[in-house]
Amino acid sequence: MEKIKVAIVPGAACGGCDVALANLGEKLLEATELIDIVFWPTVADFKIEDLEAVQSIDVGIFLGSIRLEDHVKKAKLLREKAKYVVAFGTCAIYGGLFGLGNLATREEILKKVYLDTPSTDNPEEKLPAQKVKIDGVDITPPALTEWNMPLNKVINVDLYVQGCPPIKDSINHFYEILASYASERKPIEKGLTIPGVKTLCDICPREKPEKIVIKSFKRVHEGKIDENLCFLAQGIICLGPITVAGCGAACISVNMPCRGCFGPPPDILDRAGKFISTIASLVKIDKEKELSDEELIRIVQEIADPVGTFHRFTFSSGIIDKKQEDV
Amino acid sequence: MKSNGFEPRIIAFLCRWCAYAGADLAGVSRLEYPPNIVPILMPCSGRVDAQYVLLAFKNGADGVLIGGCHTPNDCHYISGNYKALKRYALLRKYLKDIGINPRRLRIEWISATEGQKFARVIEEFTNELKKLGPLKLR
Amino acid sequence: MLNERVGVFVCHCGRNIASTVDVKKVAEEIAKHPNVVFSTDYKYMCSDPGQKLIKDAIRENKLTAVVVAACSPSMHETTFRKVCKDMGLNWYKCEIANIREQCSWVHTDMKKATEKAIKIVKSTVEKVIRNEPLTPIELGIKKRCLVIGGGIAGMQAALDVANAGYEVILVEKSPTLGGRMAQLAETFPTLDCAQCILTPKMVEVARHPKIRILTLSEVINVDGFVGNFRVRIKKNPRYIDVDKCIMCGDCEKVCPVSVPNEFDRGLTLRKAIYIPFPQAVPPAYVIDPNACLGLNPIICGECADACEQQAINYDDSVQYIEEEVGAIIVATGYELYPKEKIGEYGYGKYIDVIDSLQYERLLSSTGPTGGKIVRPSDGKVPKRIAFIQCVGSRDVNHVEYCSKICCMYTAKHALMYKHLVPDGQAYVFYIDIRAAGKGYEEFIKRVQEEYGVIYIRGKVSKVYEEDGQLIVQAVDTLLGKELEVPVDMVVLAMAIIPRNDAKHLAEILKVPTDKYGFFQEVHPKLRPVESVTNGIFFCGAGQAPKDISESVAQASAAAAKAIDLLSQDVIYHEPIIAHINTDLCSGCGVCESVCPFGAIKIVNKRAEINEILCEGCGACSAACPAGAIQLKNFRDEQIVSMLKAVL
Repeated sequence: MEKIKVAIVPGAACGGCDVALANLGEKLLEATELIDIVFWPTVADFKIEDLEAVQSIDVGIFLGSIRLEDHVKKAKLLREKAKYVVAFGTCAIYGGLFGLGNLATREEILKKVYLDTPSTDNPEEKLPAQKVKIDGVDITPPALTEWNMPLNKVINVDLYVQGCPPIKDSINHFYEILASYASERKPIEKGLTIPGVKTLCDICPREKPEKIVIKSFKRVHEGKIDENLCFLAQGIICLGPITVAGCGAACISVNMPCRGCFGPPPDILDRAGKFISTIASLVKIDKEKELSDEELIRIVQEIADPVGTFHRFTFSSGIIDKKQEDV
Repeated sequence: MKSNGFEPRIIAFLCRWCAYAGADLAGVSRLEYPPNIVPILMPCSGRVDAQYVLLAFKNGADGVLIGGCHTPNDCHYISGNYKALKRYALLRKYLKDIGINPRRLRIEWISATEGQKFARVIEEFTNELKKLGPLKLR
Repeated sequence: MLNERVGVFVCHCGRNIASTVDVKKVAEEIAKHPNVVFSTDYKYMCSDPGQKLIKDAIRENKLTAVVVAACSPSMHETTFRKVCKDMGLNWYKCEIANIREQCSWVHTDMKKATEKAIKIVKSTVEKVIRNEPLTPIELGIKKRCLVIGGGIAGMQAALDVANAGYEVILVEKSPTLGGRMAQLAETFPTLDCAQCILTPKMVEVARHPKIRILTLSEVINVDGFVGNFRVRIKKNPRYIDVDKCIMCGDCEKVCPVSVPNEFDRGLTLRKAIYIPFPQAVPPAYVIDPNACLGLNPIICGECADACEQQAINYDDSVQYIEEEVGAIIVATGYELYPKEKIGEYGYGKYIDVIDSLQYERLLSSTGPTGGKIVRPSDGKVPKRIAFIQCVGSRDVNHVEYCSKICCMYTAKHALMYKHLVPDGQAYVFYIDIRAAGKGYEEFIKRVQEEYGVIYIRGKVSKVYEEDGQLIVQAVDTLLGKELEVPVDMVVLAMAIIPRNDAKHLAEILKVPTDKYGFFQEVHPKLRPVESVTNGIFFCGAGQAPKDISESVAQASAAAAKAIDLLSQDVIYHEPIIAHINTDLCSGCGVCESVCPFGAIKIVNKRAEINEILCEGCGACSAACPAGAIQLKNFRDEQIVSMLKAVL
């Protein structure tokens, strides 16, 4: 039986997703019987020409978000070649942490990083993506895209594996799908999202009062956190209710609230919009009528950094996915 | 002003019991106001999800109005108006942070008897949005 | 949804719509919209030919959903839904696009109004194709009624409901029925003796086989919903066996403790074992546990020793009673505004400045003076007396509303004074006289003209004492003159406020109160005795200040509403309620926290909806962080598609 061809293409990524894939462990040995990896620059010295050279690919796995023109090019190439494209990990699906970069324009980011920071010494005010000559060779480093993007803003995506990075169970599940495709040519269900739909609350062991009331907002460094009580009931923003449970409750089991790295459940249009509706509803819910409208507005607005809090990993997949200049 | 011929598009989420009835009264009283607003009937202002507001802006609205019953006690469902108010408060902050002028989002308590107020609010809001100009998204 | 076949019917409403909206264009444009298979316009859709037109179109085009673009849904939604129902469509597969009240009547530019009308119709089409067919939810009814408050309103309501054949549980916090009316002397404008018309009512209630009276009792919890409320009542101990007590009074004579008598508003003393007033129902003594030396024969057992009937039981204890009822009538009545808050009139400081209820007690033949008007300080008959109206009422510093009954009872007070002290002089200080009511204006005129009571229009600024003489300082706003009127006694017509525990009761019942704490009716004009919670009704002064006749009328109205409910075998509940997709629900509990009706519970990590308690507000839908709860026919996808259609 012919092996299936798989390409693993990183975009803007930290490398965690590569490691997670490598974490398949002994399954990797089995995998080599079924899968022919034609492109994985993280583990071997592949160049884009190698990808271009492949006639067709069965499954293309994209890791990371789109932040360089080079990522766009690779993503499009992958789509062209691959029967199935998989967005693997939070950055590929939602744009990830890099999405918060969309709170500034590309030019602002470059200026800040290469010119304005106090520790920068750049008297010629050189910015990247300019032609440079090194050892007599002209080099054009890849340019930043105007904005950070999740993969599906550039190409169509067939399968999503959630996680930052995806954990073993999800990867095993994904591997089973690949394996049955490889061995039986069982078609992969398009649009499938792994691990799925249940949120962190489903596996959260903390006690939840009958009425969750946020009396005031508290951040994790402000006072003691009851390790047995729902974070929200303590006024600590926890994204657990709006984050799929694929992580095995890693953070909450060490008394840290969920920051939402696995992404939202499927029916959410905009994670910040949705969680604004959730969180605001709970503020002073027991005392609404005792406060004036103005006081209530003031208390709700005490929350620090709603974009960074609610859209830490998902801003570039939000309904409004970048900073506007309307003020 | 940059309002040259600009006609803002306004979505108004109106609670069935108060603001929608107030809008009906404005009609019965033949109070003219700008046609820029398109009403969407809601059971309660507490049904309005902040996602809808973002979606409205994304799809071309220049302003969004949420019309509910007066606080503290007019809400037909006891406290839906407070849910709306608190979401509005947080959403305004969010809008500001993502660079959308929070004045494009407005909440108003309009009772079933306040046809005049409804007409006035639409007039004011339309004029304000004309001054702000169209919402141009990047 | 994709195979929905929608018909759109655009109404001209004569020229009401057609003069500003190009109805033909609306019909043409909407015909191009997906799913719309038929559209037309007609002069009057609500007319018989208009309705027939819709029916024919449904039949001929096999329509599955209908949009009528016409007046507000509050006008003809039911009309058109009936038409559709007749043709076999579900009630909710017909929606109204409001292009009259919210379009043609408020705009003049035909082009713009037409564009807007098209948008409204489009969004309505988007909604209706996604509407689920729904059927109303049926539920049974416990044919019993709880009445809270045993004053005149509560008693009237209890009697009306009981006479209609339904069991009534009448809960009264104090030891006796009667309420405020029992404290009154005469009633305006007929000068009937209050006790004389009240006592027969009390007896009738007491003897009614369908009424169970629970005095010394409070409602502490209410669960359930219309037709099926579960009520928990706390019955405080009386320490007297009502069946054994023969009201001989032997116990009272020997009781060593005296405390101010609240029934006489502190003008007299009563014992720790007492009867509030002779006609009390139930006719039995009661021990005030806070005044009694300890409910312990070792400390003091005088009353028990004196009681030949052996009716006294110091070991009586609190009982908790659970009842199931179908309807609840709330008649908790009023209190007077606290005297501590009115410093300027010397109430509480000068003993001869009294409130209106104290004055009623003085007038009462069973009161502290046996019906004589004398000054509390020295027992002398006051020769000059001032009545001050609007004390606390219509005052931004106190309560802004009018307490409504003070003008009339003050006139009565002045008249009674003149009856009892014909040579005395009465002054009434007022802001306005509000005498709207049958025979009321005539009564005021009589008091002014026949009895020579002097009415001074002006707010009293101060009451003070000078050399043992009370002086009322005021401005006569008609003459523009400052006045200082020396008087022997001052009666303050205090503002009426809700009972101090009314707010707590409102929370238990989950019904709203207005900003002053009065129970809030659904609609002040059209649904004046109903609460937002189905099956709970209001009457009496707990809803707003009102006099006896209004309280009685409102009590009968509330009773009629309760009877209407209890007379049904099943009731139907609106099916537009929240629905939970358990696949998406992870049991975060946000919905349970935001539901104002207690309709959602998390059971085994999943939300469950009580369909009857759910009123369909959608607060949970908006708050659910997983999109797992959707309000039927106001689902996210519907609102999103409506939005997209209009933008």
